[in-house]
Amino acid sequence: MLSVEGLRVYYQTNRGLLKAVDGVSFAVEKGEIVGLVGESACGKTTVAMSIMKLLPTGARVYDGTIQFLGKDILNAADEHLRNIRWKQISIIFQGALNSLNPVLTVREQISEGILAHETVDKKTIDSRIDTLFRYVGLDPARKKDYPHEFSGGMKQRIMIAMALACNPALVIADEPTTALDVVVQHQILDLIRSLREKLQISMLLITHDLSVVAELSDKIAIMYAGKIVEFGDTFQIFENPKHPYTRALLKSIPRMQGSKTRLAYISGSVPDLTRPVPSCRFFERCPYAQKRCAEVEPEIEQVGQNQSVACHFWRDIQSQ
Amino acid sequence: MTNETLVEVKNIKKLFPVRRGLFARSRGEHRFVHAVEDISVDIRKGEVLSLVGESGCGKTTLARLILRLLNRTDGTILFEGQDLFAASGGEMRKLRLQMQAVFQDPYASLDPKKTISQVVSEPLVVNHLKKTVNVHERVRESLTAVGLSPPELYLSKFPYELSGGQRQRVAIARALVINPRLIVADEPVSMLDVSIRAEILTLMLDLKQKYNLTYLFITHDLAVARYISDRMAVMYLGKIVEIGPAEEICANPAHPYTKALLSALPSADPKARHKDVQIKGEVPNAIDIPTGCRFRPRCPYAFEKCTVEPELLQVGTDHYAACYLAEEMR
Repeated sequence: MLSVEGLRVYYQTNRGLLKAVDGVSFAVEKGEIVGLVGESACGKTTVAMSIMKLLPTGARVYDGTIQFLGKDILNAADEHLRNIRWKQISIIFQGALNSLNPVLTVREQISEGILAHETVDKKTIDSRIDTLFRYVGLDPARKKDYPHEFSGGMKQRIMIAMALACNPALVIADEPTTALDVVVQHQILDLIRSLREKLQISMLLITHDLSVVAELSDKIAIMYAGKIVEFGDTFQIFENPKHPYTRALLKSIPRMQGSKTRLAYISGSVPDLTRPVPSCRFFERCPYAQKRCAEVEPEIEQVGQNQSVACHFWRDIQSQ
Repeated sequence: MTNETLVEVKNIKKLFPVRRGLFARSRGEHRFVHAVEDISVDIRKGEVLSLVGESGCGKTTLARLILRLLNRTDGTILFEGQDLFAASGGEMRKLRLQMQAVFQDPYASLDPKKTISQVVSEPLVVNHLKKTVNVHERVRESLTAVGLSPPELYLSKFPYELSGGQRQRVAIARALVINPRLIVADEPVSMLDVSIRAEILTLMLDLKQKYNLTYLFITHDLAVARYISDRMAVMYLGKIVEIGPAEEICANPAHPYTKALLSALPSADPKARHKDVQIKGEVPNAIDIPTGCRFRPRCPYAFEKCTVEPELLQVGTDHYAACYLAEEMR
């Protein structure tokens, strides 16, 4: 459905080119939820914005292709893009709680999106909004209310309803539960799960939270400093992480089960992306780094049926 | 950890008036946000007590009262037996030397125009300790203690030159520099990335050991609370609904709200998906607090008796819960 190949997106900054996304490839199949996970500034939101072609000024796609349903998005004409955006690919933005317009009723805001793409009469729109509200667990009678009359969790439901308004084939969810409390977060995750079953939507789920992807996604892509370092089946990666970064990340989360052990952490910080070196990006922080890691950047390679990893020494690490 | 009390909070209450329109005011109608209602809790010397709860439950208000950054509506807080709200200006300044705070956002809590050395030495300067202690030495010690060593590398840097994790280390160094006894940490890791989060938590535990500190640790993340704390207090709408040993609460929660919070927690294990959470809806606002048990409207176990608000009852060793069914819950 969606395939991203060798995507490179660089930002023009006054310190030079910042290589935010540097050779990223992955695919989202129909009906699948793919989690794109990484820490702040790893490039995950830039990937999402490239797919929507909503990159800020100063950012440019230098290389790579993005295909959606077999058609090239990056070089598509504006006309075609307008047709794709929101109608076929929609997005649930980060910080959704503040993305609603406070002076318009919810109904007006949802119908605006629909009317931009379709010519339908008021009645059809109203009945469609009612259906959407029922999908996301809101009372349709409240569609004439203003955003401030809803709680945080409800606003997030409205954002989801909006994203679904034109029956998109793919939804990009950028940190959909980050600002929410645990109980509400759980409700939203449940909602996404049930909608996915009901509507067969595909989703690219972008988050920094490993437990959110563990709950929802079928496949995950772990990003580090503009690269995907590990990609594959969620269960497999959680069970048997191969990249040193993935391994360290999983060890650094405090758990609710089992005995309290001292948490491991990754010392050092992310490399400066304006001055990339020919080495593996994780080289400086990696406990297993060897000479070769400083000289040759590892390619992502298939390591099992549903898993690939970008590390020279994954075999040795695994046996340790 | 000893059983001596460092801070004793007795029936503390804090209401914030809600601003209302002219007509409501002229009719003499006043409404209040019940941020903290009748909370009594001890912080023991050398322990890490965490306050957990969802946004708006009053955990930050309680912490600010303990630091006396807010005035109370009612109740008392004793710091080693000394009443914070009765203390004179001079006495309060002395008390303040014993408590420090670390805040959530290391990007906002450090003055961008000051060098790290100025930031860290500020508590010494504002408390007029410049003449009595060797400021330079203290700052260097403090930076070394938080792992920013050698300190010379950082002294003349500005906050923007540091990463998020390093900034939070600076914030901790600033708190440590006057050798406080109590550190109130308000969500100190929630803005940080996972890998750095673990680093700061581990550092805080090491510092506690080394300097005999006591922490009041505020977090919305139960897994973080479990990792760092000895005791945990779960708050809901301005009240403590359960308090006890952290490990015990996570393993055997006695209050239905704690149970719900624990079951709602997404776990970083795809095999543990699809858990059932029994509570519905969201936290009501703190202006119109439900009568009786405040959790009653959302509680799946509520029955007639819950129309009378339950007190904290002992359910185990050092473990208390404000629920009539606490015994059955465990």
